[in-house]
Amino acid sequence: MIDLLQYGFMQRAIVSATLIGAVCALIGVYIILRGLSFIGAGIAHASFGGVAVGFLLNVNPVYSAFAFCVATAWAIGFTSERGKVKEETAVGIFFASTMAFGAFLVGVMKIYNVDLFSYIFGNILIISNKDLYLTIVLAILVVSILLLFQKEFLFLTFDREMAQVVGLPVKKLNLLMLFLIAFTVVISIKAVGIVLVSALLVTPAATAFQLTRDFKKMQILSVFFGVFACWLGMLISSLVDVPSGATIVLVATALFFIALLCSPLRRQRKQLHRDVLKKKSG
Amino acid sequence: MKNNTIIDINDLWVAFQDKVVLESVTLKVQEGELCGILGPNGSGKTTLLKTILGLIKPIAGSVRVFGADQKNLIKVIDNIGYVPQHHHFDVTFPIKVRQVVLLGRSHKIGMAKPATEEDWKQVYSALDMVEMTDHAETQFGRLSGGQQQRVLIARALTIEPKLLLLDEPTAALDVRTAESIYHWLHEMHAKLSLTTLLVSHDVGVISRYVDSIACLNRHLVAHGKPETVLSRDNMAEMYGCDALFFHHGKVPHMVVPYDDSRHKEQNID
Repeated sequence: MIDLLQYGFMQRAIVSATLIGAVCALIGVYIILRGLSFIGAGIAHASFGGVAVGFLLNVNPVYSAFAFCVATAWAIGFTSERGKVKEETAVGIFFASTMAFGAFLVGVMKIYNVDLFSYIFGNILIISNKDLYLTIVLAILVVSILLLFQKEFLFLTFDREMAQVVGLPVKKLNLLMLFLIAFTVVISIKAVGIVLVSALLVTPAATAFQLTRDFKKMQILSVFFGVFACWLGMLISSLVDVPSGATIVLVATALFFIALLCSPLRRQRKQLHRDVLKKKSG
Repeated sequence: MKNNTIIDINDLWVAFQDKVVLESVTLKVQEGELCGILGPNGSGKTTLLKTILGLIKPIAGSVRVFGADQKNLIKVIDNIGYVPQHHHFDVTFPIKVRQVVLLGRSHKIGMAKPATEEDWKQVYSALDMVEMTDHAETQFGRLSGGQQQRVLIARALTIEPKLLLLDEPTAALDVRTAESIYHWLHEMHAKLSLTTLLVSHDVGVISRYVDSIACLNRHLVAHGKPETVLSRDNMAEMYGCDALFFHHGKVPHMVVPYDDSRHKEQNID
């Protein structure tokens, strides 16, 4: 493992894994508290259309996926805020249509190559310097905005109507949140893949939620689980030569089940049940 | 009560999809007035409150609060405290009582700015007013319905509002808790001279605690002092049926549907 660290691809992978794990986990807290898990999956799948366009136009697919994700996030926000359809319905429409568009282009161009599969299932070991720079810039941007508007996003998540009443620009904040999810998806697709990125957005935050009901602690724990899953998943992936996305998601899921079994909140509930039964029988 | 109009509603029409919910409502609420809005389910009480708050746009007519129309409401929003109808929050949401109250000051604090010492002082002062300081560090979802409602009232009070709007603040609460909240609200109104608009469908409660009553059933049936407004004709128009009144003092304490014209009024004193 120490030998591997000498290689540039491994150093890039470690930096990427840390940033992706942290950013996905931080925004994931808002995603699961708002019950928006489907949005992460929707925007991620929309990037498939962008990747296919990238292959067609011979530009870096990450850039075209970026444009697709942001456009899809805006379209979801616009159609649902206008009250024409519910947010989950908007996600369903754009998720399927952009994915279908990508599949159509792949079919037309006959581009069934290894590169395309690396976008679908992810390979953190092939991240280039350019990809890494984009990841660093977007990760700093997303984390800064999330920390800067923490109070506003918390209010929007907890009680949207009251947030509007006290004068917060809830529509703009909601759109900003969708853009941040889109940015996060873009920097994650090369590492965990289009199909699996939604798991990284949801699972670390859900794991943290098993252990605490304190918002700050939940954010810290979520970031810890996100980064840990990315590191361990990447290590396993490099040792046994399997796609990094799959191993990262499997590690994150294993952590979730461990947290579920060890959850102090669950233990408290069980203890309460035992006490009640004891009181009843005694 | 002073003679400044705080809420000025003029010929207001509001529709939801293809249904008119409020018809030609004209209502003025003066500074320091504790006005109760009374009406049956579906009479447009909540819609009226949400229109005052700028959450719903009317199809015709105007609403002015502190002289500001809906477009300029943001300029006076820091003067308005709102306690929504009790809705079931996610009991697992990881937020503490003090954080819930602080959120009420979001606009005062400013976008992307952290809370100052003064903000936290106001938060604790509001929690003190509703006697919930001991629960400041408790997770909001772990509180009982009555305690949650008190925290939501503290959230409205933390901006030191000049106008307080309450939408059925005791709905879904037991009688004892509801009574204590109304009693406390009445005391608070007397202490702070807050202009207050209180929505309820409980005539008994409304009539005991308010200065004036606005009877609503899509249109404004009447607005004035409880003893003049709560007449048999107004009640019949508002509830759409003949009614039996139980009096406790000058004003009806309870109104129930009744079809026997021989016993239209009873006293339980």
